[in-house]
Amino acid sequence: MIIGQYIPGHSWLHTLDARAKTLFILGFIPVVFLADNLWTNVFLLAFTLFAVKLSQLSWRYLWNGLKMILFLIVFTLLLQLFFNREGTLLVSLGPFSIYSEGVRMGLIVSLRFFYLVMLTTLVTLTTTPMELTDSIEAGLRPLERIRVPAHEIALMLSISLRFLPTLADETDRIMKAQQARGVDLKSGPIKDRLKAVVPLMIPLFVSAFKRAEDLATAMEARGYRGGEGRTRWREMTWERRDTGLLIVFVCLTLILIGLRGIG
Amino acid sequence: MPISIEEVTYLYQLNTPFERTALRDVNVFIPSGALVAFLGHTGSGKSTLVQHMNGLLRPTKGRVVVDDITVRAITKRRDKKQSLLPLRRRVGLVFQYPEHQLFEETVERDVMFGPRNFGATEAESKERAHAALRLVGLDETLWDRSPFDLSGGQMRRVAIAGVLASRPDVLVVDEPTAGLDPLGRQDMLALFKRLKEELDLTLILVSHDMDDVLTYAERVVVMEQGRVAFDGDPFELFKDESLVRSLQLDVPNVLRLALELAPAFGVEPPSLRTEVELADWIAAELRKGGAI
Repeated sequence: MIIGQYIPGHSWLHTLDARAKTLFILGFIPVVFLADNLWTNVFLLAFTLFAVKLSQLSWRYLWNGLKMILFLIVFTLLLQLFFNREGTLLVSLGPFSIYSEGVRMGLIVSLRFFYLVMLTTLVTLTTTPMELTDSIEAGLRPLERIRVPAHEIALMLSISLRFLPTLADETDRIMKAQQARGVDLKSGPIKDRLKAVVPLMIPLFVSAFKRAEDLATAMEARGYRGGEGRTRWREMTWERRDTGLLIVFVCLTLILIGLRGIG
Repeated sequence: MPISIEEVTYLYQLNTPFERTALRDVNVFIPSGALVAFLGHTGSGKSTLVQHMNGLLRPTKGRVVVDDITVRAITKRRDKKQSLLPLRRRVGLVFQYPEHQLFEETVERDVMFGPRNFGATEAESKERAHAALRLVGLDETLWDRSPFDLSGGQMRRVAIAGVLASRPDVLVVDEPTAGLDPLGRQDMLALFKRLKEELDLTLILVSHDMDDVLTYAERVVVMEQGRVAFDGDPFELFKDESLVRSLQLDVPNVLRLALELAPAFGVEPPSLRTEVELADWIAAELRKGGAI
């Protein structure tokens, strides 16, 4: 699984403002449903592949990271193929029969799924977690008027993201320490393997709570008092290219609507 | 039990953009009963290397042979199915900050965890746990307490007992003195030295402290950027200042003082390893000169 990871780079996608990228993805979710015929899909597929090309990430890495999700996509396809009984009958093999509508819907649904996963992954791969949470904070700020704690939510998010790798390291270390004491996580009956989670989870929780306490103390000691009047180290700047991305989005939507009319 | 590391190369996060070579063609042979220190900076590969010794990591290339067990990269089904439990029982590994691995309700139960996993009965495990707790010098009144109620030093001792209870033949300790005060460090290292002698262990010490290595190790393997940069007597290494500097290490304090004092006394620098030896030598030289 590579969704949620960040890979440093200098591609065009990397330099875009996180707010623009988040907005784009949020807007893209409903727009993806416009793709319902051959040409809209050809267009979106080309667009997605072009975006991958722009990110300058290695195809092999993406392929390896998305294998798991590919399985899900294929599964959706099969589900539609075998259970959709609309349209004309194409093939009938024993209890299985495939209808034309099943093929069409299967392809469309799995392709939509593919575009969404691919573009979301690209956003997380080219945006640092800190930028992402900053953009979420920016997005929530208007809601502060109705007492949504935007700053606190963003802080919680960025702290969790900050400590994910630390926790992952810690998990790895504790797992190794228990394996060295004879825990076998990879074989044996499920019951034993579930039991083997206890010696992993307890030390992990103990250190996570300790770390949370230390962090709170350290923040208070340095005068943290919430988001009010707080200035930033990283200022987000909205550049022409970010407006460009939004224009691309509008064009994309219009083209899709136009292509729906053809075929 | 001899350990033989043969042509071992190890890559972290294989097939990702984060792929990184941690070890390159490492060859080390450790005979039975040796006391070897692995010295190197953070990221030099020393911890990665010792995790190969009980099969926690498998080489990307090359092989590790411990006694009659061979661990190599997974290429065949047979490798995947290989059980590493016998190896892990024989090679005990004490991690950095081992107190983080404690989880049981009582000290005794935590120390019994290892033997239980390696197939000992409840009674045997209890007996081994008690023996191990006595070896690390943890007071019997604490055995029924929760490990989380103990002091940091006591917790570390419990964790070490937890490894010893499986009765390993080889003990690998990764930075055992991390986070301890000078007195605690000395106690800890003396404990391992004593354990080695009493239990007839092969002791492998991972460290970045020059003085600890000079004082305790019979042999030092210096790791640098995933390669073995020096392998030999610690004294031979540290007395050669230009070699020490080229490996980006420091001369241990004991030796540095001896080297600086020797010209003043008008003698050749002696081969000293410990603070006590240093003090005795200074006293002897002063006496010779009639100062005391």
